[in-house]
Amino acid sequence: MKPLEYKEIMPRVAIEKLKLISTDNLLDLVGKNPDAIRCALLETSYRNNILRIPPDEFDSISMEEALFESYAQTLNKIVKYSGGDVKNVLLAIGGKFVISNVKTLLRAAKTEMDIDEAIRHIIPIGSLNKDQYRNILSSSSSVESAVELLATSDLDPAIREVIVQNKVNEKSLLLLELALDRAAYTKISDSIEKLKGLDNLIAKNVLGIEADAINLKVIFRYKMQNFPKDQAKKYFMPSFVFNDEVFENALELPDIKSIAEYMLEVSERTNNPFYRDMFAHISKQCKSSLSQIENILERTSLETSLNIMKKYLKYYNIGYVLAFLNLKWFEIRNLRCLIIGSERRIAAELIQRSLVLQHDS
Amino acid sequence: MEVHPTRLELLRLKRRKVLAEGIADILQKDLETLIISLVEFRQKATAFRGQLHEKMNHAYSSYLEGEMIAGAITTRELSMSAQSSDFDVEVDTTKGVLGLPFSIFHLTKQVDEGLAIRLNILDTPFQLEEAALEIEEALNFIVKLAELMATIREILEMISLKRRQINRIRFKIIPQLDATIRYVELILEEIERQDAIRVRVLQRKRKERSLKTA
Repeated sequence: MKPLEYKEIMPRVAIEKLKLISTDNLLDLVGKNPDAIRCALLETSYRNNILRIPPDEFDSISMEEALFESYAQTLNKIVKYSGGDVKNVLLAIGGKFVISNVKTLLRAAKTEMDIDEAIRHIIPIGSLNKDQYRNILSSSSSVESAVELLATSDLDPAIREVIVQNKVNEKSLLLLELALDRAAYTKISDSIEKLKGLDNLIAKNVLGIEADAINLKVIFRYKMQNFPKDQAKKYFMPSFVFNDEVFENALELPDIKSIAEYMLEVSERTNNPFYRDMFAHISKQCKSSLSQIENILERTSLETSLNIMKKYLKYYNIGYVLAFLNLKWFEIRNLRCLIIGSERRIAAELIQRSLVLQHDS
Repeated sequence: MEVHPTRLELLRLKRRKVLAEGIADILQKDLETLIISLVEFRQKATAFRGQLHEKMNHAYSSYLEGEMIAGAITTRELSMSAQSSDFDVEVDTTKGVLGLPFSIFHLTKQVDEGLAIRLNILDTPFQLEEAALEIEEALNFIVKLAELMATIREILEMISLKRRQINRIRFKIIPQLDATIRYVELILEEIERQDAIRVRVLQRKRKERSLKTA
């Protein structure tokens, strides 16, 4: 996108970024009761979404719904004011949430979940709104009928194609879910490839690290749970930095330490500082539990966004937008953690351990 | 007890009493062995119960941590839509203490090779997988605990049976034998006394007869 085209979107993103909750304020909420968290959130950008929740219906699920709505509004607003290839990238990012909605709908159809309950998990992003999802769900008596209705809906044609091409297994939706997830990341990858110069490089770092974090998660889980290798390979998302051979080689290695060292060696060849830092950190923490390593992977994505914001200070690149969206997502993830932790009366230390914060926080 | 009050019968009764006392001693020893193994199994069950409690606590804590990360709705969705694991309990028997038939329970999981992964890795934090794995381990503890409980019940039934047998011997059979022995002895003593009198009378009569003839 030409620098002039960023003029419209950047001030809006900058304003939205100022509304993000600081790490200190977030940490102050750890261990507080749900009402205190609600009151604190009324002073933030989530105010309007939270005020829509009737006081007697206030719980972690309604809060989660309000947070998702806020994220959807922010993303939709940024998409509205963006243009060209940046808009395509943002729409592709929105595609991840559309896929999440489709998965919710299919799971609800499979388990005959209460429609109202399922619709609460729908993030209003993409061509279908909550009412349309509700209509599909209420008209479908089984997963097959839900698939048929989705295939003829106003969904993105690429998603519809995936739904039609992948047969639904009666026992499990996993294969279809995998195909949908891969389609979302392929679309992101394709949209990034259309970006030029610095935008392309930044987008590959911010979104690539997210996709590769999933690939690493799959490799580490494969090592821990020892499921069939061909199933692990099916889970790989398209990587923007490494080729398939790198991940396949990593699958052959005996433990987390050797995988991290191998990936560190490969990332040094690609001269990518973000990947290098991530693998160096994992090889240091390789004796930690897998949940802590997964936390490191998530934290790397957050830290990459923060570093991108610091490194590319100029307004005229995609880094600021993508990094902001990532930060907003992590804020919602952390708030969700705080609310559920507070509702379930979980120890403050455990809640804090589950948050994805910067390394020095 | 109807018996012929004879010396042979008395000897037989005394032999039966000795035999009954011997059986009571053996049963008492069996009872002690059963009690010792009951205490051992009870200690094992307590240890298993502690481990089960610890495992369940850990699984619950992992579940809560996973729920915090994945979100309440996603966790619910995943738990409801994941392919359920089919478990079965196979029962086998083995000879245990005093040759008692003890049940052995084996928890078996039916694995579907096509779908080794149950939860979508992208949506599932490891804590939820960990919670599921720990619950599976807890199921093993529950089955082992059930096996121990079945064994304990078996031992308790056997203890109560042995105790009834000992009591029957000690408080019914032996006293009955004692009474019968005493009865036979009394009868024999009585017969002896009558015989003695009869001998003395005969002797006296023989003496008188000899005096008359002299």
